[in-house]
Amino acid sequence: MLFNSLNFLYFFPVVFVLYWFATNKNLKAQNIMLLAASYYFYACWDVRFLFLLIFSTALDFFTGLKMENCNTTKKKRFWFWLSVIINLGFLGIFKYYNFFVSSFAEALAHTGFSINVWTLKVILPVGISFYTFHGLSYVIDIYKGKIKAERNFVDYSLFVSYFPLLVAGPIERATHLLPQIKVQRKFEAEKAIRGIELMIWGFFKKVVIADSMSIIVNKVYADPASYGSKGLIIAAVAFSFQIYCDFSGYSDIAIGCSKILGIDLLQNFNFPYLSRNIAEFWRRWHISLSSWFRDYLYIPLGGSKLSMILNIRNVFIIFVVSGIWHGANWTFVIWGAIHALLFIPSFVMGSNKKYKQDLVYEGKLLPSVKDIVMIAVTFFFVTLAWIFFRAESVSQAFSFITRIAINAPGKSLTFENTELMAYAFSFAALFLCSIYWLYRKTKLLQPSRFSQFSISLLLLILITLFGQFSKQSFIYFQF
Amino acid sequence: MKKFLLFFSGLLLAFAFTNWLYVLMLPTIDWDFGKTKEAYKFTNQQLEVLVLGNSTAMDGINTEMLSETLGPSYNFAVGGASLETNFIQLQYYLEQNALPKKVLVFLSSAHISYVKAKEVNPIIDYYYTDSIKWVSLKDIPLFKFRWLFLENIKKLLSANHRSAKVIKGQLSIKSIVQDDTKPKATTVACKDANFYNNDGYDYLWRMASLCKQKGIAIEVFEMPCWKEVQNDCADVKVYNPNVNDSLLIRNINNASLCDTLLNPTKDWLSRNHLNYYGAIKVTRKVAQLLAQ
Repeated sequence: MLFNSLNFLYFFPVVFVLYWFATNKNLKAQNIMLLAASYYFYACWDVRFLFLLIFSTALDFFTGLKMENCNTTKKKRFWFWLSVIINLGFLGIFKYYNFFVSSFAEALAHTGFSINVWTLKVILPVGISFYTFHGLSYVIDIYKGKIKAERNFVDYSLFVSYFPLLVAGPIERATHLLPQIKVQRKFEAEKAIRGIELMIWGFFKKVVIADSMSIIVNKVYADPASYGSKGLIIAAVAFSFQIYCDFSGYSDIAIGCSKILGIDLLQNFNFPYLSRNIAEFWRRWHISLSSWFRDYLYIPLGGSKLSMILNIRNVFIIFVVSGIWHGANWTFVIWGAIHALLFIPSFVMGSNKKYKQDLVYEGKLLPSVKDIVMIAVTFFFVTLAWIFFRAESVSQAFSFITRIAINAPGKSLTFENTELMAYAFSFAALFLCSIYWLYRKTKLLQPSRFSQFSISLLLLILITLFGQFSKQSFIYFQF
Repeated sequence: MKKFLLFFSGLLLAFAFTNWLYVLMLPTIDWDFGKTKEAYKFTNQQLEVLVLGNSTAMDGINTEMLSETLGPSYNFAVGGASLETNFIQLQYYLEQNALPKKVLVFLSSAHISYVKAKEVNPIIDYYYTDSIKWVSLKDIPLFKFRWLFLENIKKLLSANHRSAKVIKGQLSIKSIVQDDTKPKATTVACKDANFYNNDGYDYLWRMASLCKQKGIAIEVFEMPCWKEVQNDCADVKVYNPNVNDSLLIRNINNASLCDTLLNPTKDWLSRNHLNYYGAIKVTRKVAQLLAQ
């Protein structure tokens, strides 16, 4: 089920009523209801893969218990690796098998050998990368003794399958979400109102900005060789806004509807396009994934505590793995590698630890000129890297960039006056509301009930007037 | 909970109020809406000529002129109207008013792609099909009439559009946009009679049947377009065996006719839409053709 579908508009109020009015007295019943709703939410997409989700959940639940009950390290290690291998095995089969075998066959073909590879004709189960990472973090934390194994299957299943985060995150940690699942939730009006605001803001970003930008992006990326440099630049910038508004919009809706249910989810975006360097960008973009890689890959590899060469290797590994996590294509690998290359200079010079404060421009109304220049430069490089992320193939991405660089002639994008006016309204609202949320976050603005109300109303009106309602899926569903 | 429900229901109420306000304002600020409301309220009218069509006819047929030559006329054409939309308008008018002598249907050229059927103009749908039905979210006025929001903002920004008037249903705008397009290098393959028996023209035939049944003459024209989509085709006499009726479709989009009739630098309002000056010339031609 998509957040931006009519079904969700019926689904969520029903869940709300059952959650706060029918099952609120009994935590067990409330969690069972929420789990059933989550499974229904997932099954609406494809019921067959629900069994895979339940199997993956059961596997991690039982291996977690087994690990805790083991009296020898060897046995504990066995259960740990069993869970890791099966989890990654599923991910590998569904997401990466075809990519690796065809890449292998292509590599062999270059050396003169030709083999016929057997590829799978399966669709990628939606959200598999997200729920696998939920499960893995849980198993790793138990193995490392950071948490105790959960003994209630319903509670654990809900941690993995909680519908707001099931298909596109944020990637939660057992230490953060499970304790909230295990205690009686109390309805907090302020939190719920903030939830509504976030949901409307998320819908605005998705259906007004992201889906409008996707029309431009899809048109140009369908045949980039026919477009001139101006059209390509517009498409590249449009994609930067599309992917940000699509994914952060999803996260806002997820966090918002979870707040209405009294559960706080991890923050996933923190004004990433206001970053002053790539390191800051990665502290603000898909935060739950980057912190996951930091905690479960980068630090176990030695983090930044080894020799410079090994430290750089570690940085490279996490960026490339992060790239390939997004999809089985060399374009994602290169996207990750570009970010590594952009990150490494500041890492070597130690400037990657600058701008670590949680909030952009804390206490300032406007950024300085130097900040603006740094933001623009960072945005430029991020946009450049997004070309690889969006392109169908590496060669298409290179050709796209080359055509921009040589100012190639070609088709230009033409817009009707009404389209331009719609974009002007939408972007003005995006810009002003982003400032509103930024000032709210930095406590420069104390939102009154009136401002909360009027901004939500304004966004609702803009969604109705300019939203694209063609049931476009969220980009991160494919990951 | 009370505080939250108050906020949420307040938001929904304010949203509903905004929609109500929007739909209340539209007839006074929007041409299509205003004239549709006016036309919908017609009862016992004695019009002799009804003009039907889409935006090209709404801008391009001067009913004030027609009224002087052919008798009291009204331009019912609305932007984006399909033939089904025109059929609904015609049927409703004939039920409520005295029978006219002529019904003039202005089509967009058969050689350009436009909506002919299966889509009723939302404004006509709103007035002619039992007002707002509230059967789906698509009927929320801000959504249903969303394009009019920008259209009316555009109107606010353009002095020519602000000074435009709707006279006897015709939208009269003096704004000029030059037709800089060039005729197509290759000749267009003309549509034959068979074409008009398919491809969404069924509501044209339903209009023809209705007129025949009531003893009203129906005349069909194809409106002129910019040079790039003009053609060299002749008028087409079409017979439809299913309804046992025939129609003459007069082609005003013929390049030679347009060359003598229209000035590409003065007579256009926008792509394929005539301004006040172009409308006078085309209307005069229509009157001449009908007099022959």
